[in-house]
Amino acid sequence: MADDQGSRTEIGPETLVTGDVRADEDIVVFGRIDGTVSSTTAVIVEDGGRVGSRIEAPTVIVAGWASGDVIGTERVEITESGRVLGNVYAPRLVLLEGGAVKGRVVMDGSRPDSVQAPVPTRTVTARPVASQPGTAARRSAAPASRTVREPVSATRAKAAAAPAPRAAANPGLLDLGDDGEPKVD
Amino acid sequence: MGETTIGPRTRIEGSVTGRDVLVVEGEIRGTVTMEAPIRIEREGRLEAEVQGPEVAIGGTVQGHVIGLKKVEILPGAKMIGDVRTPRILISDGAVFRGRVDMDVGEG
Repeated sequence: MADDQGSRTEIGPETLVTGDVRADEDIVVFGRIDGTVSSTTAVIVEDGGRVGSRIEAPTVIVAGWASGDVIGTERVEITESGRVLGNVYAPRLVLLEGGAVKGRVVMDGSRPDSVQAPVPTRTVTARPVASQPGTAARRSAAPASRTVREPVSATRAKAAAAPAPRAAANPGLLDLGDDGEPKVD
Repeated sequence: MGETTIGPRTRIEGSVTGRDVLVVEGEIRGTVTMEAPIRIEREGRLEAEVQGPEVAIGGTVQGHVIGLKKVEILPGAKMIGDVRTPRILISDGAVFRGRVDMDVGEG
Protein backbone atom coordinates (compact mmCIF):
# COMPACT_ATOMS: atom_id res chain seq x y z
CA MET A 1 0.00 0.00 0.00
CA ALA A 2 2.98 2.23 0.35
CA ASP A 3 3.09 4.91 -2.20
CA ASP A 4 6.01 5.21 -4.59
CA GLN A 5 8.83 6.57 -2.50
CA GLY A 6 7.54 5.19 0.74
CA SER A 7 6.92 8.51 2.39
CA ARG A 8 4.24 8.48 4.97
CA THR A 9 2.83 10.21 7.98
CA GLU A 10 3.16 8.58 11.33
CA ILE A 11 1.41 9.84 14.42
CA GLY A 12 3.48 8.63 17.36
CA PRO A 13 2.04 6.87 20.39
CA GLU A 14 2.28 9.94 22.57
CA THR A 15 0.93 12.43 20.09
CA LEU A 16 -2.52 13.92 19.94
CA VAL A 17 -3.74 15.67 16.82
CA THR A 18 -6.89 17.70 17.17
CA GLY A 19 -8.16 18.64 13.76
CA ASP A 20 -8.17 17.24 10.28
CA VAL A 21 -5.43 15.28 8.63
CA ARG A 22 -5.32 14.87 4.86
CA ALA A 23 -2.62 13.16 2.89
CA ASP A 24 -1.55 11.85 -0.48
CA GLU A 25 0.43 9.19 1.32
CA ASP A 26 -0.18 6.60 4.00
CA ILE A 27 -1.20 7.76 7.44
CA VAL A 28 -0.25 5.46 10.27
CA VAL A 29 -1.74 6.22 13.66
CA PHE A 30 -0.08 4.92 16.81
CA GLY A 31 -1.35 7.84 18.83
CA ARG A 32 -4.57 9.72 18.67
CA ILE A 33 -6.36 11.91 16.18
CA ASP A 34 -9.49 13.73 17.21
CA GLY A 35 -10.71 14.77 13.81
CA THR A 36 -11.19 13.40 10.35
CA VAL A 37 -8.43 11.49 8.67
CA SER A 38 -8.29 11.04 4.94
CA SER A 39 -5.71 9.73 2.55
CA THR A 40 -5.57 8.99 -1.14
CA THR A 41 -3.69 5.78 -0.36
CA ALA A 42 -4.24 4.21 3.06
CA VAL A 43 -5.00 4.90 6.68
CA ILE A 44 -3.76 2.44 9.27
CA VAL A 45 -4.86 2.72 12.87
CA GLU A 46 -2.39 0.61 14.80
CA ASP A 47 -3.12 -1.28 17.99
CA GLY A 48 -3.23 1.41 20.65
CA GLY A 49 -4.04 4.10 18.12
CA ARG A 50 -7.30 5.97 18.17
CA VAL A 51 -9.20 8.06 15.71
CA GLY A 52 -12.17 9.99 16.99
CA SER A 53 -13.90 10.87 13.78
CA ARG A 54 -14.36 9.79 10.18
CA ILE A 55 -11.65 7.88 8.35
CA GLU A 56 -11.62 7.78 4.58
CA ALA A 57 -9.14 6.16 2.23
CA PRO A 58 -8.99 3.51 -0.48
CA THR A 59 -7.62 1.12 2.13
CA VAL A 60 -8.36 1.41 5.82
CA ILE A 61 -6.92 -0.96 8.38
CA VAL A 62 -8.13 -0.72 11.95
CA ALA A 63 -6.12 -2.51 14.61
CA GLY A 64 -6.86 0.15 17.18
CA TRP A 65 -9.93 2.12 17.98
CA ALA A 66 -12.02 4.13 15.57
CA SER A 67 -15.08 6.01 16.65
CA GLY A 68 -16.66 7.42 13.56
CA ASP A 69 -17.50 6.19 10.14
CA VAL A 70 -14.85 4.16 8.41
CA ILE A 71 -14.97 4.55 4.66
CA GLY A 72 -12.74 2.34 2.59
CA THR A 73 -13.40 3.03 -1.05
CA GLU A 74 -11.60 -0.19 -1.94
CA ARG A 75 -11.19 -2.18 1.21
CA VAL A 76 -11.49 -2.15 4.98
CA GLU A 77 -9.75 -4.53 7.31
CA ILE A 78 -10.50 -4.77 11.01
CA THR A 79 -7.99 -6.90 12.85
CA GLU A 80 -8.31 -8.96 16.03
CA SER A 81 -7.63 -5.89 18.11
CA GLY A 82 -9.64 -3.46 16.00
CA ARG A 83 -12.75 -1.73 17.27
CA VAL A 84 -15.00 0.43 15.18
CA LEU A 85 -17.73 2.46 16.78
CA GLY A 86 -19.43 3.74 13.69
CA ASN A 87 -20.54 2.61 10.30
CA VAL A 88 -18.27 0.81 7.91
CA TYR A 89 -18.57 1.52 4.22
CA ALA A 90 -16.51 -0.70 1.98
CA PRO A 91 -16.99 -2.86 -1.09
CA ARG A 92 -14.66 -5.39 0.53
CA LEU A 93 -14.41 -5.99 4.22
CA VAL A 94 -12.23 -8.27 6.27
CA LEU A 95 -13.18 -8.58 9.91
CA LEU A 96 -10.91 -10.88 11.82
CA GLU A 97 -12.07 -12.86 14.80
CA GLY A 98 -11.92 -10.65 17.85
CA GLY A 99 -12.37 -7.47 15.89
CA ALA A 100 -15.58 -5.60 16.50
CA VAL A 101 -17.93 -3.19 14.86
CA LYS A 102 -20.71 -1.30 16.52
CA GLY A 103 -22.58 0.23 13.65
CA ARG A 104 -23.77 -0.62 10.20
CA VAL A 105 -21.79 -2.41 7.59
CA VAL A 106 -22.54 -1.14 4.13
CA MET A 107 -21.09 -3.05 1.23
CA ASP A 108 -23.33 -1.93 -1.58
CA GLY A 109 -21.02 0.80 -2.72
CA SER A 110 -23.01 3.63 -1.24
CA ARG A 111 -21.38 6.39 0.71
CA PRO A 112 -22.54 8.22 3.77
CA ASP A 113 -22.70 11.64 2.05
CA SER A 114 -25.31 13.53 3.96
CA VAL A 115 -26.32 10.60 6.08
CA GLN A 116 -24.13 11.51 8.99
CA ALA A 117 -25.95 10.08 11.96
CA PRO A 118 -24.68 6.57 12.53
CA VAL A 119 -26.86 5.58 15.49
CA PRO A 120 -25.15 2.31 16.19
CA THR A 121 -27.72 -0.28 16.97
CA ARG A 122 -25.85 -3.40 17.83
CA THR A 123 -22.49 -4.89 18.25
CA VAL A 124 -21.26 -7.48 15.85
CA THR A 125 -18.27 -9.53 16.78
CA ALA A 126 -16.36 -11.45 14.22
CA ARG A 127 -16.82 -15.12 14.49
CA PRO A 128 -16.71 -17.86 11.97
CA VAL A 129 -20.36 -17.63 11.15
CA ALA A 130 -21.38 -18.67 7.71
CA SER A 131 -24.10 -16.15 7.43
CA GLN A 132 -26.04 -15.85 4.25
CA PRO A 133 -24.23 -13.48 1.99
CA GLY A 134 -26.30 -10.61 0.91
CA THR A 135 -27.80 -9.64 4.19
CA ALA A 136 -25.01 -7.22 4.68
CA ALA A 137 -26.36 -4.96 2.01
CA ARG A 138 -28.31 -2.17 3.44
CA ARG A 139 -31.86 -1.74 2.38
CA SER A 140 -32.40 1.92 1.92
CA ALA A 141 -28.94 3.27 1.61
CA ALA A 142 -28.14 6.51 -0.09
CA PRO A 143 -28.44 6.41 -3.87
CA ALA A 144 -26.79 3.14 -4.70
CA SER A 145 -25.20 4.61 -7.75
CA ARG A 146 -22.56 1.98 -8.04
CA THR A 147 -23.60 -1.59 -7.55
CA VAL A 148 -20.54 -3.38 -6.42
CA ARG A 149 -20.32 -7.08 -6.94
CA GLU A 150 -18.03 -7.85 -4.12
CA PRO A 151 -15.64 -10.70 -4.54
CA VAL A 152 -16.85 -12.62 -1.57
CA SER A 153 -14.09 -15.15 -1.66
CA ALA A 154 -11.77 -13.56 0.84
CA THR A 155 -14.40 -11.97 2.94
CA ARG A 156 -16.24 -14.92 4.37
CA ALA A 157 -15.99 -13.58 7.86
CA LYS A 158 -17.62 -10.35 7.05
CA ALA A 159 -19.71 -8.83 9.70
CA ALA A 160 -23.10 -9.47 8.32
CA ALA A 161 -25.57 -7.06 9.68
CA ALA A 162 -27.81 -9.96 10.38
CA PRO A 163 -29.48 -9.84 13.75
CA ALA A 164 -26.65 -10.32 16.18
CA PRO A 165 -26.90 -12.90 18.88
CA ARG A 166 -27.93 -11.46 22.20
CA ALA A 167 -25.11 -9.87 24.04
CA ALA A 168 -25.35 -12.30 26.90
CA ALA A 169 -24.93 -15.22 24.59
CA ASN A 170 -21.85 -13.69 23.16
CA PRO A 171 -18.95 -14.01 25.56
CA GLY A 172 -16.44 -12.47 23.21
CA LEU A 173 -18.43 -9.30 23.12
CA LEU A 174 -16.45 -6.28 24.00
CA ASP A 175 -17.62 -3.26 25.78
CA LEU A 176 -16.69 -0.34 23.65
CA GLY A 177 -17.74 2.10 26.26
CA ASP A 178 -15.28 1.23 28.99
CA ASP A 179 -12.41 2.75 27.21
CA GLY A 180 -12.84 6.48 27.57
CA GLU A 181 -15.62 8.35 26.04
CA PRO A 182 -18.12 6.12 24.36
CA LYS A 183 -18.54 8.71 21.72
CA VAL A 184 -21.32 8.24 19.30
CA ASP A 185 -21.50 11.21 17.06
CA MET B 1 9.44 8.68 23.57
CA GLY B 2 8.36 7.84 20.07
CA GLU B 3 8.36 9.84 16.94
CA THR B 4 5.69 11.55 14.95
CA THR B 5 6.36 12.28 11.31
CA ILE B 6 4.19 14.45 9.18
CA GLY B 7 4.98 13.27 5.67
CA PRO B 8 5.67 15.57 2.74
CA ARG B 9 2.24 14.99 1.25
CA THR B 10 0.25 15.47 4.41
CA ARG B 11 -1.57 18.49 5.65
CA ILE B 12 -2.94 18.98 9.15
CA GLU B 13 -5.31 21.70 10.19
CA GLY B 14 -5.59 21.86 13.94
CA SER B 15 -3.29 21.22 16.82
CA VAL B 16 -0.55 18.72 17.40
CA THR B 17 0.53 18.02 20.97
CA GLY B 18 2.42 15.32 22.77
CA ARG B 19 5.64 13.87 24.03
CA ASP B 20 6.95 12.40 20.81
CA VAL B 21 9.70 13.89 18.72
CA LEU B 22 8.00 15.71 15.88
CA VAL B 23 9.41 15.78 12.37
CA VAL B 24 7.54 17.91 9.89
CA GLU B 25 8.06 17.29 6.20
CA GLY B 26 4.55 18.33 5.29
CA GLU B 27 2.25 21.11 6.35
CA ILE B 28 0.61 22.06 9.64
CA ARG B 29 -1.72 24.97 10.18
CA GLY B 30 -2.68 25.61 13.75
CA THR B 31 -0.68 25.03 16.88
CA VAL B 32 2.17 22.69 17.67
CA THR B 33 3.06 22.06 21.31
CA MET B 34 5.45 19.25 22.05
CA GLU B 35 7.44 18.17 25.06
CA ALA B 36 10.15 16.76 22.84
CA PRO B 37 12.29 18.22 20.06
CA ILE B 38 10.59 19.57 16.95
CA ARG B 39 12.31 19.49 13.60
CA ILE B 40 10.91 21.17 10.54
CA GLU B 41 12.56 19.70 7.49
CA ARG B 42 13.42 21.63 4.37
CA GLU B 43 10.12 20.91 2.68
CA GLY B 44 8.14 21.34 5.85
CA ARG B 45 5.73 24.21 6.22
CA LEU B 46 4.21 25.49 9.40
CA GLU B 47 1.68 28.22 9.74
CA ALA B 48 1.39 27.84 13.43
CA GLU B 49 2.24 28.74 16.96
CA VAL B 50 5.07 26.41 17.82
CA GLN B 51 6.38 25.44 21.22
CA GLY B 52 8.88 22.82 22.24
CA PRO B 53 12.04 22.38 24.26
CA GLU B 54 14.12 22.52 21.10
CA VAL B 55 12.89 23.72 17.76
CA ALA B 56 15.00 23.25 14.64
CA ILE B 57 13.71 25.04 11.59
CA GLY B 58 14.93 23.94 8.18
CA GLY B 59 11.77 24.72 6.26
CA THR B 60 9.23 27.49 6.27
CA VAL B 61 7.60 28.75 9.42
CA GLN B 62 5.13 31.54 9.75
CA GLY B 63 4.09 32.20 13.31
CA HIS B 64 5.50 32.48 16.78
CA VAL B 65 8.08 30.01 17.92
CA ILE B 66 8.91 29.30 21.54
CA GLY B 67 11.92 27.14 22.22
CA LEU B 68 12.13 26.51 25.95
CA LYS B 69 15.78 25.57 25.60
CA LYS B 70 16.88 26.35 22.07
CA VAL B 71 15.82 27.42 18.61
CA GLU B 72 17.87 26.75 15.51
CA ILE B 73 17.19 28.38 12.19
CA LEU B 74 19.05 26.28 9.66
CA PRO B 75 20.41 27.09 6.21
CA GLY B 76 17.59 27.31 3.70
CA ALA B 77 15.00 28.03 6.37
CA LYS B 78 12.47 30.78 6.08
CA MET B 79 11.19 32.00 9.39
CA ILE B 80 8.64 34.76 9.62
CA GLY B 81 7.51 35.61 13.10
CA ASP B 82 8.82 36.13 16.58
CA VAL B 83 11.07 33.77 18.41
CA ARG B 84 11.25 33.41 22.16
CA THR B 85 14.04 31.29 23.52
CA PRO B 86 17.09 31.48 25.78
CA ARG B 87 19.40 30.25 23.02
CA ILE B 88 19.11 30.85 19.32
CA LEU B 89 21.24 29.90 16.36
CA ILE B 90 20.68 31.50 13.01
CA SER B 91 22.66 29.88 10.25
CA ASP B 92 24.15 31.52 7.24
CA GLY B 93 21.65 31.19 4.45
CA ALA B 94 18.60 31.34 6.65
CA VAL B 95 15.92 33.95 6.15
CA PHE B 96 14.44 35.38 9.30
CA ARG B 97 12.00 38.19 9.74
CA GLY B 98 10.73 38.86 13.21
CA ARG B 99 11.78 39.66 16.71
CA VAL B 100 13.91 37.67 19.05
CA ASP B 101 13.10 37.59 22.72
CA MET B 102 15.77 35.87 24.74
CA ASP B 103 14.44 37.00 28.06
CA VAL B 104 13.18 33.61 29.12
CA GLY B 105 14.02 32.46 32.62
CA GLU B 106 15.76 29.15 32.82
CA GLY B 107 17.41 27.23 30.02
